[in-house]
Amino acid sequence: MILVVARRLSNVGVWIAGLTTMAMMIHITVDSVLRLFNVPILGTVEIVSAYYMVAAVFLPIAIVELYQESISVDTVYQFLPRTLKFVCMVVVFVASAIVYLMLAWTSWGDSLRSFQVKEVVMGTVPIIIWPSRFLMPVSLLLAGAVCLWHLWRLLTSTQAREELMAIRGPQPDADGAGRAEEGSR
Amino acid sequence: MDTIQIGMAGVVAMVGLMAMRVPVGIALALTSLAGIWAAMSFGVALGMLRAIPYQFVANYVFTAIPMFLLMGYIASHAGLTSGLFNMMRLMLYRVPGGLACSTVGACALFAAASGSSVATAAAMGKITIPEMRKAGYDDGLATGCVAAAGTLGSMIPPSVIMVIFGVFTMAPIGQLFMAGFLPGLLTALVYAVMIVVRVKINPSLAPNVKLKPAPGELRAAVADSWPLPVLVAGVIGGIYAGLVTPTEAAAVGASLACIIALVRGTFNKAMLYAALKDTVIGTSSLFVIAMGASMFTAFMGLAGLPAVMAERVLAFSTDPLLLILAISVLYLILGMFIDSLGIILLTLPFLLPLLNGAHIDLIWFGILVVKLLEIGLITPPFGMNVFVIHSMMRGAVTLPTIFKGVGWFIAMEIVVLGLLIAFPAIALWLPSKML
Repeated sequence: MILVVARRLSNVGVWIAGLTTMAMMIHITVDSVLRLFNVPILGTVEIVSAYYMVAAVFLPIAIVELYQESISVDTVYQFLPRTLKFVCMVVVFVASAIVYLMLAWTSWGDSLRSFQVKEVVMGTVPIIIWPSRFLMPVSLLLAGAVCLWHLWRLLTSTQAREELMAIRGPQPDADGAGRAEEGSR
Repeated sequence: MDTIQIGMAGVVAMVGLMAMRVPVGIALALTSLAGIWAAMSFGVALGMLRAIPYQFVANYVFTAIPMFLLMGYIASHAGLTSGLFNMMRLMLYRVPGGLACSTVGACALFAAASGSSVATAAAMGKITIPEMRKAGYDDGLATGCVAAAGTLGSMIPPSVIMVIFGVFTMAPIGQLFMAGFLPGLLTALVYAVMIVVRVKINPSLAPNVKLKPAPGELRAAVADSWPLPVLVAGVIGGIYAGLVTPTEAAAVGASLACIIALVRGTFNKAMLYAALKDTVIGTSSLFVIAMGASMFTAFMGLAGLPAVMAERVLAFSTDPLLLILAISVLYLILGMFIDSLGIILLTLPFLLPLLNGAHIDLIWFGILVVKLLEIGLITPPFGMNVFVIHSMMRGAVTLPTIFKGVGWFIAMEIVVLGLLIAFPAIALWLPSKML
C-alpha cells in the first residue's frame, strides 16, 4: 500500500524535477541566444545555480533511494552468504539515513538563518535566494525517510527483504531495450 | 593518533563501507564526517561539511551535467539515434566485417550526443547486436564491439566525466572536450582496422553479407538520421569556435534535441517521462557521489595525507612518464572493481598534488584518465559495459564469450593508450587551436 503511494509520489517527483530541468534548459538557452544580441537575462547565473540546479539535484535523491539507484559497488557483496548480505543492507540503510538526516538537520539550520537575514546573492542584479535553501532540507529529509522505510521493510517483511537484497545490475531495458533481440533469434 | 593516521584509517574505513555495498557517495560523506570528528571535534566536522553540498551544487558550470544527460536521453528516447546504425551500414557495406565497423561508427556518433559510456552501449546494443547475429556474426565479435565502442561515450565530447574532472581539477572544460575529440576518433579507427584485419584473416567471424543498398536507400537513411550529427557538430563546433561555453552549449543542445523531436513528431508524454526520469535519476546519483567526494577532499586536506604521499612519491621520482605509467597501472586495477566516477573522485585528491609537483599537463592527464576508465569498463572481472550487454542479451550470449570478444578491443585500447602517452599532441593539438 505504502509502496504504491510512494511510487505514485515518485512519479510526480520525476515530473517536478524533470520539468525543473527543462525550465533550466529553456532559461539558459534563451539567455545564450539573447546574449548574442547583447541583451542577456539579468541574474541567469544566480537563478540557475541557486534554484534550478539545487532543485534538479536534491529533489530526486528520494526517488533515487526509492528505486535503489544510487551508485554502489557489488564486487564483494555478490559473493557474500545471505546472512552477511542482510547485515550489509542494514549498514547501507543506516549509513544512508544518518548522512541524509544529518545533512537535512544542518541545512535546515542554514535555511532558517538564510530566511532570517533574507539572503540575497549579488550578481548583475540582486537575487533573493533564501527560498531555495529550503529545498535541500526538505529533499534530504525525504531521502532519509525512504532509507528508514527501506530499513523497516528489510527487518520486518520477508518479501521486501528479497527485493531489497537483490543484485540490481544495470538496467538497460528500462524502455524495453532488451526486447528488440527476441524477434531475431 | 595523528591526523595522517586518521586519514589512513579513513581511507580504509571508506573502502570497507563501499565493499559492504554502501553507496559510494554515502561512504565518502560518512567517513569524512567521522574522520574530521576524530581529528578535530564533532562541531568542526559539522561546521566544515555542512556548507559543502549546497555550495557545491549551486554552481553554474555543473548545469552542463543535467543538460548533456537530457540531450542524450531525449535524442535516444525520441528515436533520433535509431537510424545511425542503418546509415553507417549502408555506407560501409563493402568493408569486411562491415556491420561491426558500422557499429563502431554508430557508437561514435551516438557518443557525441551522449555523455555516458554505459548509456551508449545500452542504446546501441539493442539495435546492432540483433542485426549482427542475424547476419551470422561471431557472438564474441558482435557483443564485444558494442561493449568496447560504447566506451567512446565518455571520450568523444560531450562527456560527463570530463565536466566533473574539469571542476575538480579546475582544468578548462571546453579544452578537455576538444582534447577528447581526436583520441575518440583514433580509437574508433583503430577498432575498425582491427575488425577488418581479423575478418580478412578469419572470414567466418563475419560472413560477408552482400547487402548492396537499393538505389536511393542510402539517401533515405541519411535523410532520416542527419539531424543528430548536425546537432552534435553544432554543439562541438560552437564550443570550438568559442561562440558558447560548454555550459551554454549543453543547454542549447538539449533544446535543439527537443525541437528536432518535436519536428519529427516523436515528442510525446511517454517519451518525455522516460527521458526525464533517466535524466533526474542520473543527475542526482552522480551528484551524491560528487558531493561526498567533495567532503572527502576536505577531510583529506585536513588530514594532510595527500600532501605527505605526494612528497614521498616525488622524493622517489619526479619523472612524469614514470608517474603516468604508475597511475595507469593503479587505474587499470581499480577500474576492474570500482565505478568510473568513484575512481576518479577518490584518486584525484591524492593525484593532484603529484601532478602539479611533476608539472603534468592536466588536459592531457584528463584524456589519459578517461581512456583508462574506458578500459576499466570492459576489463574482467567487473567491466560494467560487458555486464550491460550481457543482461541485455538475457542469457543468449555467455559472459565469457563477451569478455573473449572484448579482449581484442582491450588490446587495441592499450595501443591507443600507448600512443596517447607517447604523443600528447594527439590530445593537445586541437585545444591549442581553439578560437
